Amino acid sequence: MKIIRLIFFGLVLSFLPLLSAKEGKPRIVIFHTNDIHGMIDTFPRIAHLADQERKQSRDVFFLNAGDAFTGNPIVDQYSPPGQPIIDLFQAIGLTASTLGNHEFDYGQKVLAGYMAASRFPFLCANVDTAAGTIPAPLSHVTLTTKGGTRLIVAGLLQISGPGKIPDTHPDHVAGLKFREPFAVARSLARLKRRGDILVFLTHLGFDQDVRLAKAVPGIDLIVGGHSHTVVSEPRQWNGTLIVQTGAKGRFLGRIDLEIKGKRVTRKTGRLIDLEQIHEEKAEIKAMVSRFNDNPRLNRVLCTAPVALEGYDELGCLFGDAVRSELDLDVVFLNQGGIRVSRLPESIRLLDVYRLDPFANDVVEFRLAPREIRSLIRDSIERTGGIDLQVSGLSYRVRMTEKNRVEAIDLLDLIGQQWPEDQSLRVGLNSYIASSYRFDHADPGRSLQTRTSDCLIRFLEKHPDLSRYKGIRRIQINSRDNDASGDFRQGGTGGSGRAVAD
Amino acid sequence: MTVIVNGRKVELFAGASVRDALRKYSPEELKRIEQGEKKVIDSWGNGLDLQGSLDEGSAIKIVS
Repeated sequence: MKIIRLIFFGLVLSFLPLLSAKEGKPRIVIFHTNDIHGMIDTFPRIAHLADQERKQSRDVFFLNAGDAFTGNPIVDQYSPPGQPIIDLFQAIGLTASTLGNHEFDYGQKVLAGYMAASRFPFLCANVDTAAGTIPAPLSHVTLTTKGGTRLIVAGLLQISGPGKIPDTHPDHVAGLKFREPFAVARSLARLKRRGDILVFLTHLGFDQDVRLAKAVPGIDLIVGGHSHTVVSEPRQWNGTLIVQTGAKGRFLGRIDLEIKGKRVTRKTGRLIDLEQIHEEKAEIKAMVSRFNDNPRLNRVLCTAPVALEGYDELGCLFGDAVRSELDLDVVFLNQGGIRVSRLPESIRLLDVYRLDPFANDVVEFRLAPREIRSLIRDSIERTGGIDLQVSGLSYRVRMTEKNRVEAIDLLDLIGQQWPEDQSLRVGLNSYIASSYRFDHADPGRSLQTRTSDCLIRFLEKHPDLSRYKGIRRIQINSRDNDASGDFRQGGTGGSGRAVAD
Repeated sequence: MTVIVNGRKVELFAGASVRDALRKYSPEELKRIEQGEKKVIDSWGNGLDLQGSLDEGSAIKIVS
């Protein structure tokens, strides 16, 4: 009898959410993610939670606030890049995604394919695509609940810098024009007349979302991304609830909107820690396993006639790759960022990630020769020796008897002193840009391109690496051992040679 | 751009991440955060991922 009673109460409890929804206390559940950055391993848990809720609630939506791409070789190196994310979003029933700045990273052609073929819309109200390659995204969608309540969901994307473009390489957004998101948001706020609940699905960053809520009245909810903010206890500003889940699929966001007369009477948000969820949807888990077992990661990028070894050979190759791919004058990379001592003759994709596992972006500075010398000086003083590998020029350092830097000569590719009045577009990895102390009038800007991606693309285009064997572009001499005669165009003892391109 | 870390101005390149700001502020503190001994929060007390983007004037704080 006791067991029957327990089963009875268990059944009643399991149906309570349905009963409450049907008893005049309707609610809308919105799941949300942002800045997944290609991390797909928690999708089976997300799918399980979404399915469970769909069994209990009548109105369940799922929004993504941008930057689903870039950050995981499994996804970035897929053919076509990003496809696993699209497939998984479709499989879990994503309702809509806003465009994030990293949605452009694979180029407009790839993005255009996804925008045309995906079963969910990409939203962005502040882009004009007339002269670009991507189709015009929807500025907003209207979602209607089974009870007839209409949610207007509008997308906004961040822009920055003098070019007023999203944080991606400028080439990736060529032809696109972006409007200031707050001005667009003010006009979008009028859409509320056509709906009942106004939701902004933004990729602006949490600080900007707060500013937006304060500046534009009438927004019920902002589902945000970009700043990777873990909003554990969502608050309201000016009546607007603002949520964000951090990044990389660690948390799933859940919003509950209680509705009366098509108006929101209560809104709450919370994060679900996916590390604490152990149930997974088998079908999605099988998809993730298939994607993770990506044979392309083992693919050979190039087969060189010789193996390259040591900081000089690897550093010159790596620097040339970054310089060539981003059309810079000069590139410096720190030796500490080169994590293997040898690249084999057959270089696989995984070898590149072993060589450069740090996911550093390239940062561009316009530097005068005097400023470049201050960078080299800092690198030597902080490490006590050669630290910066270079592409685009070579350099010679003279040390004092007390092991202090006395002079640094910058030499062009034919061994001539670099003219003092000619500044250069210099690329540094983001580690150097943020930790080395050097003079620079130009504050610099991220080119939003990873150093490893440059090397991958370069190796695919330049399979003959024999010219890097024995190469050396740096010489460091003390007064006791003035070996200036040994140093020719970056070579030692005549064995080395500068590489022109 | 200028961001504020623990009340101190830090000059950074445009497009810098939380990690870049912390590295410039104190590599030792960054290491403690990476090891999970400390964490970084924004002006409202929200936790931040190290790869998160920063804006001109963003203020972040290191806490135990």
